[in-house]
Amino acid sequence: KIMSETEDQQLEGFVGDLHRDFILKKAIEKKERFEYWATQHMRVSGIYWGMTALDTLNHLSDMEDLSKVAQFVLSCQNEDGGFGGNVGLDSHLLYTLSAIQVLYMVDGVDGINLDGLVEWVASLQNDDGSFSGDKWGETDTRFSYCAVSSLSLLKRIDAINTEKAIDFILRCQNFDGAFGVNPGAESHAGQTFCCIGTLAILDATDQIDVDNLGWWLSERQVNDGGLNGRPEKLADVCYSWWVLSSLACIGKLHWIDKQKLIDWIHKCQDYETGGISDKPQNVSDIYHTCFGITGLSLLGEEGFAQVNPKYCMTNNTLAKYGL
Amino acid sequence: MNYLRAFFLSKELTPRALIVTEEAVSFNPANYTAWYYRRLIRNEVGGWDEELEIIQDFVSENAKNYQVWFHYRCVIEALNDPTDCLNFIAEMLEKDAKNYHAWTIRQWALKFFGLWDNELEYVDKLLNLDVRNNSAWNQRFFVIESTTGYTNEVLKAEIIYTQEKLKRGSNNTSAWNYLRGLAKVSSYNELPEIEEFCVEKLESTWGITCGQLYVTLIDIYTKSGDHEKLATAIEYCEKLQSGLDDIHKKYWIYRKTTLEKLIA
Repeated sequence: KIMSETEDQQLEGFVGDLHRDFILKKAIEKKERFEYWATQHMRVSGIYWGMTALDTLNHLSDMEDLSKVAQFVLSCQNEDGGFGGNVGLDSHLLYTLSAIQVLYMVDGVDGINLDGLVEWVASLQNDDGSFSGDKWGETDTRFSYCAVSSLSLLKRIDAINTEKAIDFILRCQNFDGAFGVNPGAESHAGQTFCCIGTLAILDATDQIDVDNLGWWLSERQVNDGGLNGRPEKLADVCYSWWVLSSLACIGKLHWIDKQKLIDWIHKCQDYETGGISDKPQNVSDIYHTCFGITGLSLLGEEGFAQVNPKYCMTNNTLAKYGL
Repeated sequence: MNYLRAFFLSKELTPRALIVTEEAVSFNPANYTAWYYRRLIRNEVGGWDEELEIIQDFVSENAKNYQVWFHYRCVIEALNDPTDCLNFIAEMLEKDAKNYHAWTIRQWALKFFGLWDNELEYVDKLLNLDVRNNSAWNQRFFVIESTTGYTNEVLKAEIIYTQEKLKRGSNNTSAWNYLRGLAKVSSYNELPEIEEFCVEKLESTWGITCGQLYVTLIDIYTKSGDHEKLATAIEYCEKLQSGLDDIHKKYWIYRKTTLEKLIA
């Protein structure tokens, strides 16, 4: 991207229409582009990021052929009940959650092989309450979140041992108040969201040291207003979501300097091509566009649909299935 | 992609299939099905040593990719030989000392093979290179908890260690988090030297420049329950909110309000 900005550039505020166009262009991306193939293994998640951004901008209806999207996502459900990141890829909890979230947005939930999915998710819970991402056994608090959120969205949370799931999450809380990928792992804002989101969905946030966590989370705001993921690291737009939603889940959103963060996220927009990038002046992508927009929604920006901090989905969409 | 899928569906587990998967992961190292398939093939035809060389190359080139790191772990597990594992991960950490995947796999290897002996020394080496490396501070906690545990003796030694490191640069969030973490394992009452250290440092330039010093004293005084100390903590909140840590102003306003309620 050309560094066309000069010191005199006016802050143009939020350019929602440019982002909408950016996302819609991605939706019909030509297969010749390298980026299309490089992200092919997580296509379902890419769709989730793009559509959630549109939904938050109240532009979901601008997307054509939602039934085609539903068809495509449903075709990613495998015989074992789980969803792969694309057609013909093995089932994994990451893509299973994304699939369900997309199907919510395109009214395709009824097409899911529900019992198969629930059984598969439940089979991934380990004795210590943790979840493996798939049959290969890697555990990660991200997978706890994916499992719990998936089943909660499908109203089948009873299929897993929720007490043990909570126990495992609690064991991941570190001396600094935040959470890592597994017990003992370094605290990280993304992993922390997964843990707090899990606890919030299971109504168990009262079981942690909320003040200690709240401080760690608000400490993620650095001097230029952006949020980082760990002490001594650089700010990145996606942490606008991971940190903010965690704070929202424990009722401490007001501990962040909102205006400074809003201004910083605005700076991460690409005023030419649309989309939002991880840091000012970098190339924008769907992932950071999604989390920049959902972050701005949580910050109370006008004109955005309300996003639920537990699910990273709009309340409008969640209401479709009575959540 | 369809070519790989055809092979995968046919369940062919041969060197020929291996080549197909290698093409797939070369094109997209995040193609997790291709990596799975390679493990199935290796289980059948062997050659895990060769697989180790291959995956090490992929990890070096794609250090932020989940799939290659997990595959690396699977290869080490299959070989059941951690001989070069810690060295290889150390090499990766040399390029990026905070790589979250590297640390995750390192912690796995330490636990799985019980390789604790030299880890604290390694952490110390990293902290000498960058005293603000949050990952290294976390690893310190992880190793001690997993080995000796935080006995009284260990706690006292760790306080001295942390204080020494703080002298290299007082505004070191990770070191202060660690110090406060030690008090969490035990208590400030049991470890009065922490409060003594902080109060002493107030008289130095730290009293003017070091926000974390006040953060820590606020933590100590809040937990003390002593009214006079609580009043001082309130003063310190004001100091932080009005300049020393004004990006977190909203938090300090909340803290102050909470403390005021305690005294009321």
